Amino acid sequence: MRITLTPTAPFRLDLTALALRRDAANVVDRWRPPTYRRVFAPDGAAFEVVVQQHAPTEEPRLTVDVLGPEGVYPTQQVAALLSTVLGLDLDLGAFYAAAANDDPLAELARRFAGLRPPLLPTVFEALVSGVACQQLSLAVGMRLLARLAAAYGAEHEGHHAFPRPEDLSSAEPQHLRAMGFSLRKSETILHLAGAATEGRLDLESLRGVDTGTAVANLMDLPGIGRWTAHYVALRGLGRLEVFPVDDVGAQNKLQDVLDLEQRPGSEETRRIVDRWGAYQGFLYFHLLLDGLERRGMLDPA
Amino acid sequence: MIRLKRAYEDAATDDGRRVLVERLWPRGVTKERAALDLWLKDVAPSRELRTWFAHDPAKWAEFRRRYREELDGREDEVAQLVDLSREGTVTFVYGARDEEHNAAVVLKEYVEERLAKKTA
Repeated sequence: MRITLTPTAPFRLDLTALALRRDAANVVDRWRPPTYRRVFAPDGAAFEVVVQQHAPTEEPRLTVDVLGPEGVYPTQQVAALLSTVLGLDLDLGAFYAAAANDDPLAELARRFAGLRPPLLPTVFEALVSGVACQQLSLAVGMRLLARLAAAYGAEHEGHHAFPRPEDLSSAEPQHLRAMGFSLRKSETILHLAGAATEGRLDLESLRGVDTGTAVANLMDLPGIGRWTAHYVALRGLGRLEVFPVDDVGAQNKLQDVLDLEQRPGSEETRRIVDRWGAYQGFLYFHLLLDGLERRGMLDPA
Repeated sequence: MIRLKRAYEDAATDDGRRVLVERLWPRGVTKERAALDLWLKDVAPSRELRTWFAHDPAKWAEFRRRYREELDGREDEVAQLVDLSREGTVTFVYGARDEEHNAAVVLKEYVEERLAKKTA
């Protein structure tokens, strides 16, 4: 099945997919120019989407090929999933208006015009992804998640969806330990999966509450600190006003972009990004892309 | 012969082999436009030294001294540049705006000295 989607302009699939993927070790979000691929299994049955951009940044058009057994992928469901994950319908005019000044960070907005804030499809995925990456480099965290997906995610032709809470119901902490997760992370992930499966924890309901409450509720969960709560608010709930100020990677990138003598701490970071108000979190994704470019992992058009 | 060129200038046929001598990729430059033969990121100044220098011309003499010291410890990379330079024209590609006070200037001087020693 093939469907066509028309995102709001400006849109660039390459930049958005790279911001979603973050690191080449990510096996769930795959970017191989010119296509973005992901296996979804919202109801347990796996299907793969293959997305390609066919028209330029200012008049974008995407084709989506859906691969898998007939009937598991209603067109509207696929369109809605991709609209969420790739931010297809967002109107970011106010951000670009705010970026039309001489702030050194505004240059990032111009250079990466077409980037959308990507969103992980479920709050559970964002939470597990955040826990996996706690205290680790992105590359190491992504390798842990790759092993988790390969072991527990629904499969479509050799590629895996991100596991749902119920997919992890048979997992034991030692299984995750063997993949390289710390004991604490293993227990946190399995506790979350169990509570979500049994209905004691409704993570999706966080979409309906204000950001401060969502962050506070996330931090009430065992094993979830401020960094992870911010990560989930931004990547799982799409709260663009949240900049993960404790993120060492983001602090390093700010130091590089602004030519600062030292890496800014959490408070200094908050002060620097504060003027970006409702779009601080979107700025975070721009910094991520800048970091990829500086390591030679991006090829801007 | 060694030449220096900013990454933001177009490549030319008489550049010979083009080698990026920065640890970080120059912002906004496509791989195609950079037209590199090699990216020798480990020959660039350490992060500490680069941050300390911050392209402040007042720190130039000390930067030059410290970077040369770092280069003394990068035998493999330097040898690679010496070999390339002996084979023909090499252009060190760098990102800095200041064309007189940057690491590529020091590196060129350093490699040229090695080249002279080896040839003598």
